[in-house]
Amino acid sequence: MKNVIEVHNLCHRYNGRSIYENLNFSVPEGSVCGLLGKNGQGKTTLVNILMGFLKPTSGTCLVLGENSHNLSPAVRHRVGLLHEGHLAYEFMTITQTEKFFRGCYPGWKSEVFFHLMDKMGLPHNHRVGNMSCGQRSQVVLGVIMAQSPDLLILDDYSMGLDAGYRRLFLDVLHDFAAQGNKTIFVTSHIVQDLEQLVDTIIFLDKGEIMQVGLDQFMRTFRKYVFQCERDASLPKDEVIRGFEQRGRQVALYSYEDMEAVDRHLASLGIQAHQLCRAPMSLEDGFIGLMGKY
Amino acid sequence: MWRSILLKEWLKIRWFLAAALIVNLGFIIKIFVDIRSILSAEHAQMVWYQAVHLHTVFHHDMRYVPLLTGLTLAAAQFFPEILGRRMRIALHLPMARDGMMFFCLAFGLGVVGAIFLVDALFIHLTMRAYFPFEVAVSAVMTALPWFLAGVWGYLGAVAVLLETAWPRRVFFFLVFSVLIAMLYSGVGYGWLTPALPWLGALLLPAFLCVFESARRFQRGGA
Amino acid sequence: MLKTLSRLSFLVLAILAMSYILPLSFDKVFGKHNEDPLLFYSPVLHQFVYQESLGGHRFNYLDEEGRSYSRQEFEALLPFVYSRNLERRDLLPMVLEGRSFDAQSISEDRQGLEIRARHVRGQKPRIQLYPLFNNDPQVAMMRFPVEVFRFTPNAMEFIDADHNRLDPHLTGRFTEALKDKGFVFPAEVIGGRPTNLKPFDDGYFIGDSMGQVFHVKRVLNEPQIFRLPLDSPLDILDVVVTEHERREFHGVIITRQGEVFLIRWGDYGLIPLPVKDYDPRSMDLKLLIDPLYRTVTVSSRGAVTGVAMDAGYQVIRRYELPRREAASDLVRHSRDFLFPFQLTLESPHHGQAHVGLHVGGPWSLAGILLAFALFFLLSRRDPPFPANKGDLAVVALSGLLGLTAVAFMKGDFFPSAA
Repeated sequence: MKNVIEVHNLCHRYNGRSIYENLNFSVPEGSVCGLLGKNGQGKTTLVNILMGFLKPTSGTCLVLGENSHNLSPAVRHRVGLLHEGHLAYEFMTITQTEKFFRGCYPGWKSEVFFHLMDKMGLPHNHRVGNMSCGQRSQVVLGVIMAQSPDLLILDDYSMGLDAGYRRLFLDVLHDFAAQGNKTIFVTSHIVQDLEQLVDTIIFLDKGEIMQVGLDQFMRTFRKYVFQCERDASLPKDEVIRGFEQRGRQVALYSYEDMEAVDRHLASLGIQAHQLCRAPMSLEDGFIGLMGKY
Repeated sequence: MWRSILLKEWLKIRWFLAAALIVNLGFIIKIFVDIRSILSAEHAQMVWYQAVHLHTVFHHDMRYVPLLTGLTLAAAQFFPEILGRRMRIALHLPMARDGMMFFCLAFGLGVVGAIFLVDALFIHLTMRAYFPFEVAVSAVMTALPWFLAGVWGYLGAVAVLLETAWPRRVFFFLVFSVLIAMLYSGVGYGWLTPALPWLGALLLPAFLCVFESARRFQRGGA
Repeated sequence: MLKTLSRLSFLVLAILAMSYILPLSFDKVFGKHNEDPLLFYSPVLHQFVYQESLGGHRFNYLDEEGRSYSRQEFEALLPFVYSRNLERRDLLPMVLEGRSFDAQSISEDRQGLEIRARHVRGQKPRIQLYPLFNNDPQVAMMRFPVEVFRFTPNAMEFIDADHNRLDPHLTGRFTEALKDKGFVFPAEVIGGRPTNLKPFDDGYFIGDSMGQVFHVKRVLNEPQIFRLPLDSPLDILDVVVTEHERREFHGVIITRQGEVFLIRWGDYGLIPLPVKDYDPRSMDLKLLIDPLYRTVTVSSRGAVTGVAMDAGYQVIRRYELPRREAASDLVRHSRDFLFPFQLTLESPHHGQAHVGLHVGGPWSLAGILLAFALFFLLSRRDPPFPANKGDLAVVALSGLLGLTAVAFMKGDFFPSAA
């Protein structure tokens, strides 16, 4: 299987401050990859580099085999971008938007676009600038879907969307991924949504990358809960990757099994009452691994 | 694909173009009315004497109109593109960046040029109605630097808008301001005519430098 | 390719803009105002004296030997120039060379004429349409004619201003009359004063395509044309008509070669003025006539030259006053240091735009060396300011101006912030 995105030794500095050094990862064709990271970890910077709107300080970033900051029109044709904030031409109506992009993409699928537009029930002479954020996001989604790209890069598609529109996005993206050989690279601040979509996760934290399959992560990373007498200030170590405390209830995250965790807590002198494994959502896992801030 | 770009540019500027045309034609009508009223108040030969030997420029009032036109159309075309760095959409289209920039600029310059052509034609006709041929030609020659300033203003505004770094933006602004100010030097008719080939030739570098601004815009971070 | 061209384009524009505005601003601040010294021939001293500006309305009054005079002494040396002041000081009438002069006789026999390069044909925009005043002995007032004339390749056309159309009658009359006198169309040069603020009208002096000159007047609405009796055709640059009450000459013919001739009243004979190396396109010429002498001065870049003549235009004395630099050495050297060249639009010799590129002196090289040093210093900065050959060439050619432009164009010099 070939890689649609390949990042080698990527370094980026901004105003003399290093954002990351020697970043390496790749996204294979056909996968749906979610980039997760707290605010300020360089997520947007990475997406901008991938989208070709920022030249990295050093290292290479290949998208469909070409340098991302210098993509040929032929490769750009195969890449669909959704910019943060659902960037669209606000001065155009739905019809004009369709006409504009139809002329730019030879394989344009009008029916895909209008199918999505008709769901909104807006007249086609409605201006994008007069739409709600959710409606605008549908127009943008319609545009990238009708392009029928091989690679989709979505920068925080869920920004400003209510649950309904987010579901709509997930439905459409799901169908898109199901076509096979389609790759999606997505970031979202609503981690929960990604759980329903991605098969691979890239965690970006303090300039470091951790790439893992969603299934593997959900299987191997575990959430334990227990009751605690007093404030349990737990250290972060090989066993305890993260914890949350709410009143006396403590949630602890670890790759280890319950026995090992129990032993480890005991060795730390912590009395863990009713220690048990709890169901973990991706958001739980994300917080457990990366911390809250 | 070029038709799409044309559509986009047209949608952005159409109302501004209409406004620009109204303002331009409004000024020409004003000049026409002014000259007519001067001629009804004074002997024609004295008005001719003012025009020919006292270097009175009767269409002086409209000298900043072309500059304003150029700036307005540049803003109409490129302000929506830099809001939220919206030009990223166009930059990702499957066409060469420089080719697309060339097309956008050519469209803008074409529109600006067409307005100025209309201006020049009406200035000539207005002057020709009341003055000998020589005066009408000279009036157009006198207005040429103003039109040039309009084109310079257009290109300068595009470059300044596309720049992402503020120090450079200010520097670009100053450079273009100086160059435009040069086009307003001198008094009377035809003062700048001998310098026009030089100032006109500088349009080429002014046109070319916008492409670097566009390239920097693309790479300018989020 | 386009990337390089585009970048270079802005560097060129930035450097041109800076080389235009910065030296101008520099001069505004450090005042490089060079006023011409006024040179006169003193009928008292029988040598040249001059007034030199020190700036701020302060003057030096000197003679050829460098002797300094007070203002009053200076005025006394030039009784014909300052006759009004001398009269007020009760120094008139005065006797010079055995003749007595009072204010009245002096003013009647004085005439001044200035031909500035910036007003000469080709040095300023001129629409070639002229009013031809009608000379009517019965009418004292000079009325502006309703027609203007122009010369076409084969006619002298009159256009009626009231109707903005050709006057076929006048056109036919004048064209035929000119042809009768041997005028060969088209006209090369037209000299006259298109104003009614003059004591009388003396029509126009018009040079034809064969180098002949014709005096054209309109008398009682009929052409009155006289062909000047020239020995040989003249390569005329411009004709200046004087219309002065003294009626000694009609005007002045200047040739492209820098010859100057007065057109004598009466017989239209040419009186050559003894000027040497006069370039009418870059020098100003002044003719000053007083009851005893004629002085012609020519101001060039390097000097003001004076020639004094007697009433018969025979040379009595020549004097050359070299020009002094108005600005101090420090100011001039700093200027060269900062700006290796200056782009100008205005020229003292042109009444219209004249693009000029003025290259600095040896101090400019020092400025370029400093720019080089700064360039290499900056290239060691972090983030780096990478040196490339093109930028080096730009800095080599334009010194600190180029360095400034290059600094603003450096990709990493100013981090992008959107």
